[in-house]
Amino acid sequence: MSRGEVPRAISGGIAAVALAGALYVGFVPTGPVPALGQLLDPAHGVWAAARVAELPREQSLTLAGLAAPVEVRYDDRGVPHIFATSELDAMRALGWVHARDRLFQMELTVRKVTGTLSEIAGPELLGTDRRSRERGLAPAAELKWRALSSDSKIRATVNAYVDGINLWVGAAGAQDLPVEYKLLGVEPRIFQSQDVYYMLAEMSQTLAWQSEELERGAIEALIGDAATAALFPLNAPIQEPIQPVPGRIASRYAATKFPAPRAPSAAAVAAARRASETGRRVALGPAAVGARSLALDGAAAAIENLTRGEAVVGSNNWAVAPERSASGHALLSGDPHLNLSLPSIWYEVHIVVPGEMDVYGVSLPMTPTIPIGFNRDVAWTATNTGADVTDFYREVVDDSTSPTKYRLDGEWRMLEQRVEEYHGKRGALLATDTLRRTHRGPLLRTSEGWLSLRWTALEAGDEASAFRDAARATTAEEWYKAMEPYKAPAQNFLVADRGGAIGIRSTGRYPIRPGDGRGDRIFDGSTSKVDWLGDWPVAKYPQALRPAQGYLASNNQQPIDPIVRADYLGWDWPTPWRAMRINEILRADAAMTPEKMRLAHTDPRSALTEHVRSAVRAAVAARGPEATATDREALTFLDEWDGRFDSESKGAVLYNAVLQEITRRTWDEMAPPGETQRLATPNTMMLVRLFEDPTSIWWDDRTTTDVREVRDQILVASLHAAWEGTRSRFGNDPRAWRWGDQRMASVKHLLQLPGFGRESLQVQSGPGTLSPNDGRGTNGASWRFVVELGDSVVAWGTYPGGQSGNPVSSRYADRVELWRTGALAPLRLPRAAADLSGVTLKSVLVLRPTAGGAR
Amino acid sequence: MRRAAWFIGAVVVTALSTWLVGWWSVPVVGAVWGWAKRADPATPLMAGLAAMIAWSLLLLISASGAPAGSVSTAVGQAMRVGPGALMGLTIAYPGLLAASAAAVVRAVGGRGREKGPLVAR
Repeated sequence: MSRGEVPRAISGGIAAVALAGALYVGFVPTGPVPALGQLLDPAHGVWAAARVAELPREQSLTLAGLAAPVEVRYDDRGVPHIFATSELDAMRALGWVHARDRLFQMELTVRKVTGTLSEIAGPELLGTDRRSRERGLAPAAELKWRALSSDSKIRATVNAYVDGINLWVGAAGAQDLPVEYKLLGVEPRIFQSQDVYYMLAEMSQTLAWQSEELERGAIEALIGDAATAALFPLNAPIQEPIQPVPGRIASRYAATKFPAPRAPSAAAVAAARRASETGRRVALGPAAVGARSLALDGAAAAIENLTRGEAVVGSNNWAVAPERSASGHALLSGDPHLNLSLPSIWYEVHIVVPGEMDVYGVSLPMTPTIPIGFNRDVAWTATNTGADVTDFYREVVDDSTSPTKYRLDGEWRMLEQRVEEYHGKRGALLATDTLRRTHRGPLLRTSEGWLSLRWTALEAGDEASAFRDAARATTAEEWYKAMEPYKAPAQNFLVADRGGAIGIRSTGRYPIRPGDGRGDRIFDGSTSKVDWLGDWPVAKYPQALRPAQGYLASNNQQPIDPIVRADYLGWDWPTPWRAMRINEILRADAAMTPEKMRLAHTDPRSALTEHVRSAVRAAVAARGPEATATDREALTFLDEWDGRFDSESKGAVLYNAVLQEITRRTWDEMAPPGETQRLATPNTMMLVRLFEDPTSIWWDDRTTTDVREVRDQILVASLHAAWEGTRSRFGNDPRAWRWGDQRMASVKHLLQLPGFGRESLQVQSGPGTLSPNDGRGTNGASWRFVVELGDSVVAWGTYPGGQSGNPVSSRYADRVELWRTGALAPLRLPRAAADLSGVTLKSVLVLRPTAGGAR
Repeated sequence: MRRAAWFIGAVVVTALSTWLVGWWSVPVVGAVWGWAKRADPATPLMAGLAAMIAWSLLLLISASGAPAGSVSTAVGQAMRVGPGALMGLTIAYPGLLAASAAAVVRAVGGRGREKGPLVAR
């Protein structure tokens, strides 16, 4: 080697190492970082997201399987209006437009239900996957799909829809794929028809999964059966039911006694901990590790606070009959509260098939249905019923670690078993589980033994057909008839039609249980005598059609007053504050307008407020000279507050602090001795009823063993502590306090990727208002809309997000600001494609059949 | 003049090949240039620079579909590297690929037979 060649060899070696390293990171993912080559490629990687962010002004494509051309006109809000000559063509186009805007969201939903998130996101989600598979939603969804007859309309509809999705995926280049695929370094799946049923199952997972009876055991162990029954009762002690009580317009306050908590022994605390662990285990799955690394479910948060009244639910709907509206037409409004995400759970769409369907509303990407919306005659919306549709059975098994049989009526029965494999991003086997089933459903292993689960979501039902048929209804009666096959998740479906009818029905499958009919306990699984006997007939569902009062509302409260009918439907019902407030608004105004309906969505008042404020006021007065100057100053400040939870409100800041202090001081017995973390917190309905009992033992602060406190002492002490605490936290000058700084909404990306969410949004909400916010701000109105059913239908709506799932699209989060302020946008309702033109038309997509036409 | 033409040609070829084939064509183009101009010691540097300019042009084209900086801001935050770093990485990466490929080929390909002091025999 010559002298000149030595440095060249060295530099060549260095270059070879650099090239090898660059190629390695280009081709091979490193830890959480995907392969950089594809990721950074400006033509096909993440940067391409910008190139495909906006809709082309005009686009014409061929789509296999179409029988005739389909025209999709996107309006200026990014809503596709699909004009087709047949339902199947319309559904194929819907699958295509869903895929174009929301493909990754659809993939994530399917993978969540099937427990295959680890395959795209790695082993951190193994715990979530195990929980999903353990609950058995995917096999149940597959059974529902297979149960459809081969010539059923819904089967053809679903097949066409999924074809549309796969046609988009098949034609998409790397540059078209959602940026999340590139960040995760994975490719989209090929979608199957049963995926539609996975999405519907996911709604049950979100809305109808309840395992609170497992935690109830922990509460009973801690405070005793009698106290638990009073604090987490079968029937709400303040009744403002969904089904109107004829002749009654005021809330009914039931007499309530709160038995003393039992003195917790060490054994009771240990039992409580075991039961609590069982509850956590079932809620979070067999291996909860990593369940929170991505925002894929709210179970972890939900399990930490059994208070369902304010924290977890918040959906509302209400309607007024023509005689109570200014226009003389029926009005309907709704705002389903769900986990807020970007992209939003909803996708707005309008489908027109002349002579067959003309339906507008919000669809769930991955389904060809419109669960909430309207056609030219009928409008519908839903709130969650929250009925108890899950039961747990303690099973006797032949082997405590690896059972093969379970005992039933004195005989051993074989368990169904199957082995589940979990794979990682590149196919590596991460784990295997043996899943077992009894005749009731999945068998779950807990620290207290084996529990089997029965859940309506795992059983027969045809929700897709129901939604499909209901979209064609022309009257409220037809709509409810079409929805009879609907089983899960149980929903309070509110309907109004152009004929002036309004109606509500808590629709779903409600099991008939033997004995007292209750499902708020763990059953002895060794006998079949505890098994469900059947379902409620539709006629027994809580419902009302054309009520004399001329208005209807539901807000997740107990659907039917037990003095009307006392059949068990659930327990620990959410608080009635929202129902009381909306009914107050509707009763007070016999000339409702769409604008008044809109304003109610973010109404700043709460029916709870005055209960708390008057109790505190009375307590300070009762203390007389014992009340300090500080107490009086704080009370004056609280009294001067106008009761509105506006962003600029000062009094709301103090009020909220007072409420938190009262809750903390009152329910200290709900935490094991020596601890501050409560096992559960009774909701504020119980607190308000407890105000009526000034010497209840529950007012006692158990840390002061030499004193037994009474109500007024606790309320005044709470006011005092709240005042001092708020001054300490936000400054001595109350003029600087702002409620809006405390209650913010947070619309996070599905994967909680920073930069893809919209956070710290100041919204108008408060405890018990129609737009409640538990402080985390991650739940809220996922869609708000108002419909007026006059000679023609007029509607307004919005949701906290945008139509596109592309984070750099102008349609990704363009509605967030409108939503934040409570405003609604007029919805465009063209009858024909040509009706949408000019400034209201953003993009035209023409999908043409291939030369061969329909397959 | 010829060097400038080569350079512009490399920019165009790198951009086109990335667009049509994918990112991995960048080291291939770099290697081809490294072989063709192996007598020129500046070849690796020029190949790297050409690739960086090619990808910068492609970034401009991509960015035309959305507000400037939206991708770097959103994706940069998502990847927790910051918008500037993502942009810098995207521009630097093809430079590294092309330059190192050109240098390797030049090192193994001998002196070549082109003009200049290095090819004088």
